[in-house]
Amino acid sequence: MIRFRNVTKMYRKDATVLNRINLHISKDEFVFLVGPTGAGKTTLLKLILRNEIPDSGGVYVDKVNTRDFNENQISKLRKNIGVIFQDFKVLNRTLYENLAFVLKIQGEKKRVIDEKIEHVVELVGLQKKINYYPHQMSGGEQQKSCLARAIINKPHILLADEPTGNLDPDASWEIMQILSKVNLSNTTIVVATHDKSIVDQMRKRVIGLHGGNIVRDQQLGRYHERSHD
Amino acid sequence: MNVRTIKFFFGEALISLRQNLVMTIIAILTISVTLVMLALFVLLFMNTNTALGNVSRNLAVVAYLDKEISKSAIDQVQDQLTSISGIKSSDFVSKEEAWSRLKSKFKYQEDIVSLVAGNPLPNSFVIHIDRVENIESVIRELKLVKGIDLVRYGQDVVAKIRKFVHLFNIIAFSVVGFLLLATFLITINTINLTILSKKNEVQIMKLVGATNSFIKWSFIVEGFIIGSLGALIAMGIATSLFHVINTRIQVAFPFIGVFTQGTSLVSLNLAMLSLGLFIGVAGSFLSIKNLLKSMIKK
Repeated sequence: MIRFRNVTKMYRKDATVLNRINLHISKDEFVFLVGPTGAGKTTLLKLILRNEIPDSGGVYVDKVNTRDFNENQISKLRKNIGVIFQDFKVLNRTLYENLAFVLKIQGEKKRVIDEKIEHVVELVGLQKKINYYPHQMSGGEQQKSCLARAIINKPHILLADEPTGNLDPDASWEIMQILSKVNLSNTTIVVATHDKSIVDQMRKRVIGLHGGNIVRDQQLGRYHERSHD
Repeated sequence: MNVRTIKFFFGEALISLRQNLVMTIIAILTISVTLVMLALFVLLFMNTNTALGNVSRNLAVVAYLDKEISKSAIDQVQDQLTSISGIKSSDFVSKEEAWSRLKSKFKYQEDIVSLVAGNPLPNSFVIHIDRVENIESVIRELKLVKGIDLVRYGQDVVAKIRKFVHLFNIIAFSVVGFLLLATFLITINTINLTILSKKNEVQIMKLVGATNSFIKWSFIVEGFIIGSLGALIAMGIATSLFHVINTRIQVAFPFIGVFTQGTSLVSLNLAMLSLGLFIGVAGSFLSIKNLLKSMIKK
């Protein structure tokens, strides 16, 4: 599904953010990217989203190198990738309008829009907030709104950059439960996080980054490396 | 682009204009005010040109014919006059008619007229020129016509009017040019501010797979609405002001004869509408292009 081959990314000549990264994430996997600030987690996500281009090496999504993608190919790629961030990035509109916005951009009919919205708000548990504006919702609900927007088109890949960074433990756990459900419906999930508790509770694949290098890659991993599991 | 997409663009534009109401109103009023200023200047320019045209139209050139000219030669002169371009009309004044006019002018000084033996005046043509700019070429050609002895016209007045028209045209075009540029820059700046406030929206559009051209179109439609609303307000204000000013000028200076043709006002309004649309659309296009360039790499 996602493959990095010798990927190096530098923002300045003297600042290597990712250093000859080799990585493979299979279809339907749930992966945590952990590591200190500046380790290269967000850059890795941006490379998958084709928001950045590697300085050397190749990023392959569905076996296709995204380096030479034109605008239409990037657009097509992003329609298959859902993204959520720490800062929620929702429009100042009702939840319904926020979700409909994405589907309207993709040219969906009103009937399809309503069906998809009904399904997704049920999945994230925001049925009663459908006509609420962001300021009328809690942080957790706003993040769920973003998550709903990210998964409304049933993307093949879901990228989450610090999705629980602004949330309390309960709300963080709820988000993780939803991500697990989404993962079960054949969506590959990549979460960059500093949240030790959720990584430790979820027990998924953990890729540790440090200084632009992959320092560990463990199935059923924890936030901190342990010699015994 | 299908109907649903167009509907989406207009729907989004209306939502966005409503959400950024203050900036929208500022953008619309900026276009309106600058277009009204431009229109008033153009009206002033057109009216001044019309007034100058009226003055110059009343300028007549008098071509005096040879004293012993025959009737057939006069007809030949008249034929030649019709072939000279720039002549609007010509009236033949016989020497008897000229003498009679002179006598009536001096009817209270008959003794002066009685001093003149016989009729010393020649036959002549009073010639009206279509445009003051053509007067010199007409004079040149008149002097070549066989049978014309002398050509007289108000050289000084014509020279002054021509100089004034020339200077006025230079100033008017410069001012209109600067106003257009100012209108464009102010509007772009205002639209730019509106679009910058929607950076979040553009980011989301990019993230969910909207192409750059799709994003540009949605903002161009917004610019189209802002531009057309600005132009419509400007058209209303300019038309009302024109009627008020025109009426007052005609009352105060009835001899000037300012232009009142409805067609000119319609043309002016159409020009304002086109300009408003152009400014709105081009302003939006440039602003969103810059934002996309600065914001996210392809």
